[in-house]
Amino acid sequence: MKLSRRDFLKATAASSALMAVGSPMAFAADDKADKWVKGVCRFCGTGCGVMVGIHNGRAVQIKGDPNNHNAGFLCLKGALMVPIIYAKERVTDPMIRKNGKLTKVSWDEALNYTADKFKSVLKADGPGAVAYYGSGQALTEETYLASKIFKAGLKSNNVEGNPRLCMASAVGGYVTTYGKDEPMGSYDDIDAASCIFIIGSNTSECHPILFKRIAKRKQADPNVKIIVVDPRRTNTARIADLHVPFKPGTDLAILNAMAYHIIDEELDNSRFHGKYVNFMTNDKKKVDFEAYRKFLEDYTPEKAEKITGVKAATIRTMATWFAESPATMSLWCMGINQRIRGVWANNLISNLHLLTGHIGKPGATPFSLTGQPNACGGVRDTGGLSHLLPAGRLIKKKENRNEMEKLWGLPQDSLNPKPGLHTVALYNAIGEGKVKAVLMLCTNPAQSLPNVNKHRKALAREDTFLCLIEAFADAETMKFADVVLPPAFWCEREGVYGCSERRYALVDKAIEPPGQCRESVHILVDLAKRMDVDPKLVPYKSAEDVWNEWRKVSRPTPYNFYGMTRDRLRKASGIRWPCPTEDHPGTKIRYVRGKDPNVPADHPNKYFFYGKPDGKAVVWMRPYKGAAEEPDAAYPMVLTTGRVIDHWHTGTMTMKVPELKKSFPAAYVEVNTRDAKAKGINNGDIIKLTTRRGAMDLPARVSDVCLPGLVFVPFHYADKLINKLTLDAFDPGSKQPEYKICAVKIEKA
Amino acid sequence: MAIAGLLVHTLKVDLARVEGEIQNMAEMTTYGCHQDQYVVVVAEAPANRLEAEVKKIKAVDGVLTIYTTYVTVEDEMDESTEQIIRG
Repeated sequence: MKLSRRDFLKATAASSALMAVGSPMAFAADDKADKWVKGVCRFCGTGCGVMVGIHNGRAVQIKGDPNNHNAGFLCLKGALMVPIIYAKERVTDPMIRKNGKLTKVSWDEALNYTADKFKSVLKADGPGAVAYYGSGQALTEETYLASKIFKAGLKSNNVEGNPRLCMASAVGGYVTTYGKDEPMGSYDDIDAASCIFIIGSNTSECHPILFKRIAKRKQADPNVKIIVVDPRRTNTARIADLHVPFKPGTDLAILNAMAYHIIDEELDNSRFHGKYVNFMTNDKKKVDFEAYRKFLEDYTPEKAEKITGVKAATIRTMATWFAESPATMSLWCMGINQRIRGVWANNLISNLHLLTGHIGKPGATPFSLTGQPNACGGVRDTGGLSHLLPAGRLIKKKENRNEMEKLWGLPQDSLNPKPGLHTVALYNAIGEGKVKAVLMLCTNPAQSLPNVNKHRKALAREDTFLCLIEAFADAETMKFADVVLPPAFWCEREGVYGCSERRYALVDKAIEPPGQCRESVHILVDLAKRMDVDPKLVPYKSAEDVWNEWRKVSRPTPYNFYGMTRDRLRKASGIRWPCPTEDHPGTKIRYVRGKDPNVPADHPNKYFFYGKPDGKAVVWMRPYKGAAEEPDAAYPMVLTTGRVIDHWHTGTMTMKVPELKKSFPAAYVEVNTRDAKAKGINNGDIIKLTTRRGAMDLPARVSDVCLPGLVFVPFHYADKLINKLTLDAFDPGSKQPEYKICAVKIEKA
Repeated sequence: MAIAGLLVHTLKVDLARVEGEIQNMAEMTTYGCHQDQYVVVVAEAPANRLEAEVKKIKAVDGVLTIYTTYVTVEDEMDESTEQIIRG
């Protein structure tokens, strides 16, 4: 068959879709792209595999990787990466701010200037006055390296990143319940679940490819029950058998009431929780099952109805479906994590699984979803936060520090034993002039921080030195930069991404970076040496060198992925850790004998929660607690923020794609029909939103998506920084801010 | 002109009707129904209109969602792109 170039492209497009459903297309098999290079999508934490098509040395096509978990599927964002790579806003030269304007300079000048600033602050104010603020979008190697440079090289534990804003509560939940971070299940569980409990996640818009998998599961077996607990009637609720809207901030009461019903109706699995679970009070005292049952009497469905607005009968139905299903999987995301008690909410979801034994079996698992492509692999696992060392080690534990000192070739007891500042505390310290030099990589806090006006003032201080490694000139944070270093972007360099299901996959280098852009690993090594960091600490010639060290650092821990050699990652479309040896296939289910290499084959028990001293997980007695800022007479409604399907985070990427920008060109406020009617608001009217932190005018979208009393605004738009209105109160355990709830009043502008 | 491979996920009962409606759209070519729930579609439109065309499919009753498996804008690379590449 003879095809024109155009026909060929159409055939390739059809072929990619057909491959995704497992149907071959013979006439498109003769793929004539110069080269296809394997990678991972740059957007959400789903971690879809992509193939980048290269023609004459340029990226021109994107298709889904049929061998990765996404089986060739991509959402529109992932498929439209090409215009972002070649956006006119790309930073292609180093720059220093001179006379108020960012001015092109040489690499030497920019790096020396930055190093001198850091050295001067270190000399005058000590390591507590410098900081690194990174990203769940940086490569694993980049975050590991930056964290090592600051913690081991500069002795500053002020190492933070935007994952603190999106998944720190999930970390806190896993660690307090199971002793170790990261989910024990995988995406495969979706295909085997008979009940899928989605709470605080708009999966259809934020993780569309996983939503596809959920929808496919539902269509394959109509008996599969899907429960969506969300104050908004999102697209996700379209496939739900039961959508449960509730008063924002009352999720703890709902989850405790479900536990009450499960026990009251004897739907619990006492054989499981009798053997594998400890019951603990909020102040960490071990109690018996009876004490826990008694604690739950404050959360009968009838009592919970008064708190949550959810009918008692609905709570009973949810709990019954959850417990009676052969295999139940829970999925959650920012609606649970971005809360003043996000860790507790995470604990209470796990409680339901531990009570019913829906854990460690195909289709039965709690599973937190992640917002960024490498928050898990890059930041959580490498220890890129202020209290962590690599692979789950803690700064505050002497034995952990000593182990890392040995691995890094440092003298014993030379690491700084004091944890650094968490994100909100860090920006507060910048505002107070206590932190004076900050290196940022691949993140845009001037838009993404809560209560952002306060923190923008901090970044604007004359005595704050800010060096950004940033790809896009229109990022809001660029306004505050003293130095900008241009990085190679996405597939312009190679490195590893680790997604929500513990899958590490290689983003291979497909094209050369533009202009003077350099790989961030090289920038960091160069800068470290100029800051007088011991060259022995940064002996790397490539990202692969960093990866190989990181493999060794993971080896003595339960994260162990020593078996993931670069060569294996080049061939495979991702491997899930633990993966201790080069012949190990990776791990779908953790904590189970025969499934998890960390559980000895001859272990006497089937389940072994090895993160806990006695191998038992914890059911926590977490009481109901509302939001930090509840509605009141002055601010009678609730403002929540989030994403829309065609944009991502601060929009520095998706706003560069005309198709995506047109789809959602401007910010808006979603208002319930009843509230709109009461205030005389029509679709398109300009509404003034006022919180205790500021006011903003936005056009109204009137619908029944939000519950009455709730308004929603997407946070992607730089010209409407909704984070000027949000609250920076944070969870005392995870230090994650409560983006999802603050009090607001609305009126026609 | 941009070309996109799309997988249109529908309710089973609506599959045939959805395919028929897409067949009537000028910029769309269908490549059959699969697994009782998917229509494979290739969209062909100027890049700045692609999303609008895809939205027409989203608006068809019975469509759950649309997955994009492939997009090429190969012949829309322009001079500004050249400048970026050169730096």
